[in-house]
Amino acid sequence: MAKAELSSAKKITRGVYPEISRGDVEKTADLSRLKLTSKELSRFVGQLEEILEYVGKLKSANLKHKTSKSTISPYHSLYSEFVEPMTNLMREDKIEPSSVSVEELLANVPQKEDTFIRVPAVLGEREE
Amino acid sequence: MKMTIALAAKKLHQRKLSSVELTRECLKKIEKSLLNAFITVDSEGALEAAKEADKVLGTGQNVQLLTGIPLSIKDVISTAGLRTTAASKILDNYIPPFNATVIKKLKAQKAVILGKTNCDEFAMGSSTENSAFGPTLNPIDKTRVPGGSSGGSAVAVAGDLCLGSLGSDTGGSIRQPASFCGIVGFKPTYGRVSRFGLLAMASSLDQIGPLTKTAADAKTLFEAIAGYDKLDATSIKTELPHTKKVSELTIGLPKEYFESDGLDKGVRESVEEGIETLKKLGCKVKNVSLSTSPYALAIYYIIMPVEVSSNLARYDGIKYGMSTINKAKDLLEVYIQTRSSYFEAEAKRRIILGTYASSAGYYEAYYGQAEGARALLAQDFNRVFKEVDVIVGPTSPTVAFKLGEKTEDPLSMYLSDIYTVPVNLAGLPSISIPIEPARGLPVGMQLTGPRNSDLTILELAIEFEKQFKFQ
Repeated sequence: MAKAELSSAKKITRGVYPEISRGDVEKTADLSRLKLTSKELSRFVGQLEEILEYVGKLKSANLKHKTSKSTISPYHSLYSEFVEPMTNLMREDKIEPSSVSVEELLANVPQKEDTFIRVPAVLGEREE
Repeated sequence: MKMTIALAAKKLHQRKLSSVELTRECLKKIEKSLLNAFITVDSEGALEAAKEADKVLGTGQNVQLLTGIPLSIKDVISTAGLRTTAASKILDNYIPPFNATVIKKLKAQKAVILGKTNCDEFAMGSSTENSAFGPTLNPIDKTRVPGGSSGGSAVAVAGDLCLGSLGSDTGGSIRQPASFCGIVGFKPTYGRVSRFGLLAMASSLDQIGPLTKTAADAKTLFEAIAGYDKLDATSIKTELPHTKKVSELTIGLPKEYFESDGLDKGVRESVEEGIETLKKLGCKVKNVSLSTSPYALAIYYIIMPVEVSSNLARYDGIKYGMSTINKAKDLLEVYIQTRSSYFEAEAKRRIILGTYASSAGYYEAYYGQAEGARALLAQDFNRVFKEVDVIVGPTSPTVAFKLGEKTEDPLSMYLSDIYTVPVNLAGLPSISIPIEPARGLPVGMQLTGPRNSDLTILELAIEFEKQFKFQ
């Protein structure tokens, strides 16, 4: 999913969280491919503000750790360091027979043609 | 007495009871039940499986502990040919073409699958009120929630509608409902049970595990589903180590768990009594400190929604599930209309929160900070497990709350997982076992061990259960 700069992003430094605005929620919803009703939007702004304020307690935690922008890799750093060393899992490049047929795999597709998934034309896509 | 897996297996093996009789009995109870524990009931499939199981039982060949045992499955676990909705409208019409690995393993033992149990949408919630199929009611008090997100599984077990159930636990979703309903719920070590076929919520935290009436049954069900699976890249290859004797265990009591403001007095007293029972088993008790635990929920509510926003991106109305494809004028509109019309509020809230916390400019401040703190929290557990074998405390700070009490206040809902969430962040095995009720409502005690101590935790729970009944 596309990521984009939010209006207040420039003001942020590590551990200082700005308030989330109505515009931020709307923009983030849009990035998430969601359109909120104005009622949902009003409800979410307050609720998200409260949740972000709660998670903001991390900023006062003075949690010394060695993560830096270049070394953060989601679960991996934690897993390798405290659980067990990580290794790449690679399967042999060999075709294995499937117990599921193409027809069965396509049975849930909303719109199809033969063995293809049919989608509307990518026209009128908004600019971001 | 409620029928346990152990008791039923004995009767089935002695041919004093048939699987068809047992399955009919469960189906009858499910039909009469007003608790809304199930989303889909598969009477036909269950009776067919029961007949097959009876054949196996009749020959006496290849009979296993779960042969002919009627179970229920949380509706986030894929069952081939049987609708799997994740309690979401967006998957209202979804019929998986394949079985999850855990289902394959149950079927290999000729267990009987009664149907799919209700839960919070995509397992996101602590009360089962976030289901598109309506809330599940607590069988002990119908005005209260059963906990969540595996609320339907917990109620199906506690309400005697099945003999055991499989749930999933991302931040407490097996243990907290087990606690609220007075049953046993076990979250195995991260990687011990394959998640292949589990509808992913937060992949670095999700784990499948059993909900049962006794700890002995939890062990039976765990052993049936555990093991390496090449279809789950996080699956562990090594064998589980043997367990220490229960009388040789040292129990750690983290002061942070007992000092927290939100801990109900009745729950605390029940847990203190439970600790006395552990002492009677010969366990030594030691006070410890997990200084990072007050930050666990904050860490969780950054990492989990970031993973949710990514995992739920696949529901776009193109490949499966409900779709507005016939109405939309272009591709983008299919995505937006489908997701906006068929996701409920909590899913939307977490997708937005996760997208926000992982967007450029915020990623480092939220996600980076949370990942760093998560590593410290895991380190904190490692340090404590050098001194003690098992950490003990309450499963949830309160007993089951009232329906509707927390639906408009997501943060207070999240706080009911304050003791369960740290366990998922560190990938540990943990069990909730029923102890003395408070004001007539069930209370759970949580036993947590270091990674791969699953058998130690289960043995301790089994011994506790025996001692507790004896008292």
